[in-house]
Amino acid sequence: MLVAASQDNHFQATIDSLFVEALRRGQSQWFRVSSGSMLPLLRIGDAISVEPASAHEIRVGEIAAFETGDGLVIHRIVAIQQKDMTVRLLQLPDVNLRASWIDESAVVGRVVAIRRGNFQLNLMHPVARWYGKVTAHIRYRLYSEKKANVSILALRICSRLLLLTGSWCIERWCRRTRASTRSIGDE
Amino acid sequence: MLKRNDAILWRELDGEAVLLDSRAGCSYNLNQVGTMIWKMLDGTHEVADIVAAICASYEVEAEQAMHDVQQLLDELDSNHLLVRVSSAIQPSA
Repeated sequence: MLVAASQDNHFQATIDSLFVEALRRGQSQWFRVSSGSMLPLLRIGDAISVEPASAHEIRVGEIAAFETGDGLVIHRIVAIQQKDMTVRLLQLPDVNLRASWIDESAVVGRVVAIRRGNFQLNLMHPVARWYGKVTAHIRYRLYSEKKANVSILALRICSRLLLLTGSWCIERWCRRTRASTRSIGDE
Repeated sequence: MLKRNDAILWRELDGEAVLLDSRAGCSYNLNQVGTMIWKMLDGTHEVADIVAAICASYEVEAEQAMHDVQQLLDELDSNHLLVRVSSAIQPSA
């Protein structure tokens, strides 16, 4: 969930809703991650860039930002259902298998970058997109099998291992990218 | 004439305006008098109109109201929350 440090609850809720309105007006925004539902890729305190996107533009594997009664939430999209002209997205946190469908009207954007300390990860890079897509497909499979009562514990361990390995690889790749960028700038 | 910058998002909360400059990542909170002034900054009211409205709503001298309004306008303007608009010119017949 995305909420910056709160002063007063009502005031903060108003500020949050104004940020969402800015997104809906087409302005990309930076938010701070305030929950661990997308660990290990997104940690509490990470800054994330959300770019405006409609439900029709979101692809499986991307991390969508959508409005809920509890504020703005970001979770991975693992399935898309299109019926006539309307689209529904199935969101799934990276830390558990509690999925839910979100209506297209709730979708405000997608996470395109993560800033942690002195490095930044571009989630629109082909490698990161591939990681997101594979993660989404496998976790959707696990989620589906969970409903068929296959051992939940074993499935969660499998899912966790996948996420840990994947995010570790992504972070290593990201640091290499930054190093090469710096060396180009030094020339 | 000064008016609200359209890029500034705002909402009223318990009679007080909450302003957000989303590009700068800055938020502002105006008190009730400030909110009244902010709402009148729609490009149709001159400073004199705002001062008159404040004097009508609150027990304050016109001179003091003018000073306070001008002070707030300067502050809002320095934070890029306002834009300048030229007064409409009517074509002569």
